[in-house]
Amino acid sequence: MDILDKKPVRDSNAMFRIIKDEALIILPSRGETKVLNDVGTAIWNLLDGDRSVRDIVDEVKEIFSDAPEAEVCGDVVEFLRELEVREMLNFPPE
Amino acid sequence: MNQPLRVETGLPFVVEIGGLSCRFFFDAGFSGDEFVRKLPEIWESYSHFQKSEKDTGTGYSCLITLKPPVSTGEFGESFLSVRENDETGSIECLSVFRLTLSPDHRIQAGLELHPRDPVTSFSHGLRVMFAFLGAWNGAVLLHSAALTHPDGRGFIFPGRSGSGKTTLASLCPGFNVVGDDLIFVTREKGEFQVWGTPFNNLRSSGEAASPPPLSAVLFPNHGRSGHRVQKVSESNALALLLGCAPSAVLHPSTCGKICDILIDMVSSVRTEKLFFLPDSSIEGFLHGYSR
Repeated sequence: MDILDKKPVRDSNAMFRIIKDEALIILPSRGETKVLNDVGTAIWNLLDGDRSVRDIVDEVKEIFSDAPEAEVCGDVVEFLRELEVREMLNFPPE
Repeated sequence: MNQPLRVETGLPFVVEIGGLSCRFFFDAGFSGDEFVRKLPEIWESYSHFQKSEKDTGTGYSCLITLKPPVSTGEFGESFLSVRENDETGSIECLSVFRLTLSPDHRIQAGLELHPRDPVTSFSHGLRVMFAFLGAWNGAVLLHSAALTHPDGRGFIFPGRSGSGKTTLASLCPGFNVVGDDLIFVTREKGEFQVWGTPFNNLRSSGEAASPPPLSAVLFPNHGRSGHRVQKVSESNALALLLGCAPSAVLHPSTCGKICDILIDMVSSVRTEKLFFLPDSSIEGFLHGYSR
């Protein structure tokens, strides 16, 4: 399946808090934290398990309309992959 | 036979550790801010424990009073104190802290200690216990130094080992040293207060009449040229503080409690990185640190 069709979801072990429009993701079991910038926070807020990566890319393009389309797609996928590696989100099998 | 010594709380209970008598007094049924208000008494008892160990090797005594946790979800869980073995690099369990609720609804706290190093084990277990009991009672245990400015303002310096906490505290004789390793921060009526603990490298300046109000959170860093501060965003400050909150942040529901207290803290108290040189001029820099 194309990654753009996958529907990422936040890992159930990941806690998060939004402070002044910046998300802090916390993995208590590993004592890990990650601070997200405004773009990362916008993406994190879209990870509801219903939206596909393609949907998320489209919404990010709308929010940050100045960014080139191809660049947005690449950045979103790279960001989601990083969160997956850090066990902060999952790509559930269809 | 390397079975851990099992320490169960009674009222009071006594346990023998390597021929040394260790007495604990746990009480239950307290409410309100009893735990926090009892902290000075706890410190005094713990100091006695340390003194006895050094002077005579006998007569361990520790008085700890517990307020019931907000949620009973923690009961029956085990909280581990672990350390890295310097020789093998492996992680070993140093103590196990467990809370249970007795049939008559009394809180029972149990500590299992490592038989080969019961004193260190006890000390680690006590820290873990304080971290959890504090968090459940609105007090966050932090790896941090804490100083009181002569005008009464409290500064804390959260950081991991080697970040300069003890160095800072030792370079500021004009300040009251609340602590240089582990401190408690509590919240009352929208303000934060700083409390010392018995866990220090330097001798603390002693109990103040009242805990100083927290005025600034300064994350210590070794500087290269002169002293300076650098603003930290609230989310980054929260991440840094969580990295300085031992043990309890590894437990999800307790981590949530700690997070909520710390978010209030970073939202209402100035948070900056402090880059400093390890010389006596840092005291003057902190003296002039503006409100």
